[in-house]
Amino acid sequence: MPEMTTGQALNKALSLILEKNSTAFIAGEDIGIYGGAFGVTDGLLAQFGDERIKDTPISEDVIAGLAVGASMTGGKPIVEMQFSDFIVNAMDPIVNQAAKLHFMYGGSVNVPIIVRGASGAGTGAAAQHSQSLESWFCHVPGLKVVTPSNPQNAYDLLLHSFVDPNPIIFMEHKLIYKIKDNVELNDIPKESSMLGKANIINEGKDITIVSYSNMVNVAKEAIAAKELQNCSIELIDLQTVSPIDYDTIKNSLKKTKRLLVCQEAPSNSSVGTTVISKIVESELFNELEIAPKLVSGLHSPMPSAKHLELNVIPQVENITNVIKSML
Amino acid sequence: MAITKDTQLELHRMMMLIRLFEEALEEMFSRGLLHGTMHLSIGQEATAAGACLALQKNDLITSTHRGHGHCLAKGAEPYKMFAELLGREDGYCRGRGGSMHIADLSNGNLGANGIVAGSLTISVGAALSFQMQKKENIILCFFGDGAVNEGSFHEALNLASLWNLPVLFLCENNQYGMSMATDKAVAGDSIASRGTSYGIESIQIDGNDVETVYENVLNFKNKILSSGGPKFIEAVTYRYRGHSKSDRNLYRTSDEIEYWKEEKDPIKKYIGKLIESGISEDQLKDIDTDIKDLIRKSVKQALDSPLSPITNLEEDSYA
Amino acid sequence: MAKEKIQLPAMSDQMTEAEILSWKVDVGSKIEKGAIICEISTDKVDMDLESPYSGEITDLVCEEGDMVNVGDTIAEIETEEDSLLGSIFD
Repeated sequence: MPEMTTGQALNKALSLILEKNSTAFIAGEDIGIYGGAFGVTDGLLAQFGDERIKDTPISEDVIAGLAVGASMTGGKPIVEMQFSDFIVNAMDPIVNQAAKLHFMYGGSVNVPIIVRGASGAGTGAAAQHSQSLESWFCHVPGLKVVTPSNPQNAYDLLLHSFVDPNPIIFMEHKLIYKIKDNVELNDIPKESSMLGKANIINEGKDITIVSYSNMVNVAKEAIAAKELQNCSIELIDLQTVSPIDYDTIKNSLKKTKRLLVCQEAPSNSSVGTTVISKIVESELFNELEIAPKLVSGLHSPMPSAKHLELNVIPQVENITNVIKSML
Repeated sequence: MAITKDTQLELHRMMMLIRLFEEALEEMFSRGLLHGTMHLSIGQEATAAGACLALQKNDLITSTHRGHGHCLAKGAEPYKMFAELLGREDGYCRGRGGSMHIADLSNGNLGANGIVAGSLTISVGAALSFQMQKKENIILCFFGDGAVNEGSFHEALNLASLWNLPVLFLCENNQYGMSMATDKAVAGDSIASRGTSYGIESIQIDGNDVETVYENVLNFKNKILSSGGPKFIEAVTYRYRGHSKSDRNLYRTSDEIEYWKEEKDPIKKYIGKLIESGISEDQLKDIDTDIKDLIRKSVKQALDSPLSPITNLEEDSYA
Repeated sequence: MAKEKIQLPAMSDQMTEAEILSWKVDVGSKIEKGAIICEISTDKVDMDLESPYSGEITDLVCEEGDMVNVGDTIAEIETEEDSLLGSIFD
């Protein structure tokens, strides 16, 4: 199994998709000769030419809109929002069109698009280039929202997203692009069986930690802390935040009876608050030994100064301390 | 280029079908049979009929919230359209889309859209598919005068022009958005000049002359297929009814509405032209009778057909 | 020539009834399709009602001040036009 970064793994997945599917194409800003702002599409223009790798003007609305139209007419578009913050310029084609057409047209049409975006904070890019907007799209029926956390699941989740007939928002946290690991270069699956399934990264029986995107990596570091050596911690990576795999979460909670959710996004109307609310409403409420907790980013735009940015984003110590307080 | 007599009768027939379909809907609404509102295209029949009849079945259209005429002119069955508006299972969208969202893919209608300018960028994507698949077809994108001030209009025209895409942009300028007159909403010169500013060959035409619409769409279609790149038509027309069923027409005078009904009605004008050219009044009356029968039959059939069953709507949101 | 009923139409999705404020025509009035025949008042707004037919008014079924339900006949008119959908409903 070759070792590679998440950015390179995504590159491999895109290359495989384009090689095996003549109707697949990529469109976005600076994805051609520049190779993408984060290098994810590096080399693809040389490999596939400008008919399949299409540089666009700065026009997020039509980038997403053309994906909708192409997907309804035999194309398989994968489009990029250079920073996921720019997706707000594409809200109509995504929310009012892509998410709705399959339902509104009585099932007679599918909109199999992938909208990829570089999300999250930690690079000093400040307020307009550092957001975690995934929960906006979790709120929209008809969309699926996928959040890889490492090279292997980024590779696999992109392939599974490609074969899914629904519109998919694929949020790649910027800090995972450089994570390096061994990656099994699987074939394109026949079905999108991986979407909507969480992954248990670490098994344990004292507490369940649910997380997604880069915060999974922060939580992994937290649970390896010396002070938690004697604790048995189950860490779950959601991988898909819409739909959420509640079966895996509930099975874990039946064992541990303690729930901690960790996310980078601020808490209001977020993935974390949704998970906690659904568990509290469920039959498991009476089995919980302690109230569930959410570690989340502050309800603040992302500041640019490093020390201020680190204050907004949950750090390893924040998570470790909360785990200690719950055990 | 001469239009055959058969085509002339087709054009008249289609305008009558649209007019009577819309009037039937009006009556059904008055009788409390329809849920939600409607955006009627009475007065605008020539742009829908003229444009769609110049296209082939494999050419695509995207449509607007005022799109019943486009849908019919592209070959839709009145029964399935009435059924859709009545929430029946046999409706084009099984009752889930309603008046503003009817799609009929078998006839090349990629769908009406409830968002002003919502289908402009979609049509760019469909045109890209045609280009990538090397098809000899175009997509005709209908939109109104209100759409030309949305950002997506500009993004779509810019990209279609840059990438030489086979889109025919057709603006039905009925001179009002909802209540705002175009001269208060559209800066600069004519709407057609906006196409020109993106390097797109553009023309402004009388949208109430059905043969003018037909000829110009056909001409631009041929140009798109032979030399590539989008084209733009601004068709000037007028709607007799309010924007929707809640519109009290406070923003225009009844004199203005009367003027367009009396002097510029597309159907009346065309009947006059056809009779002058030798087509008999009786032949035209026969067509009208056939259409009335078809409408009545379709409405009755739709009313008698079953409602769309309540299935798991959450599951139906996903493919 | 036939007698057609003029019924109180639903002017909006939620409308169920209206008050006849004032008649603008009399029995015997010859009118064009679209002419205003009366003013009505709903719970939301006052509106003019247009005639769906051209012809001669033969009967005014209710009086100013009456509350009428959507679908009730409010007047009758002798007309050469046939109702498009009348045969289905009446």
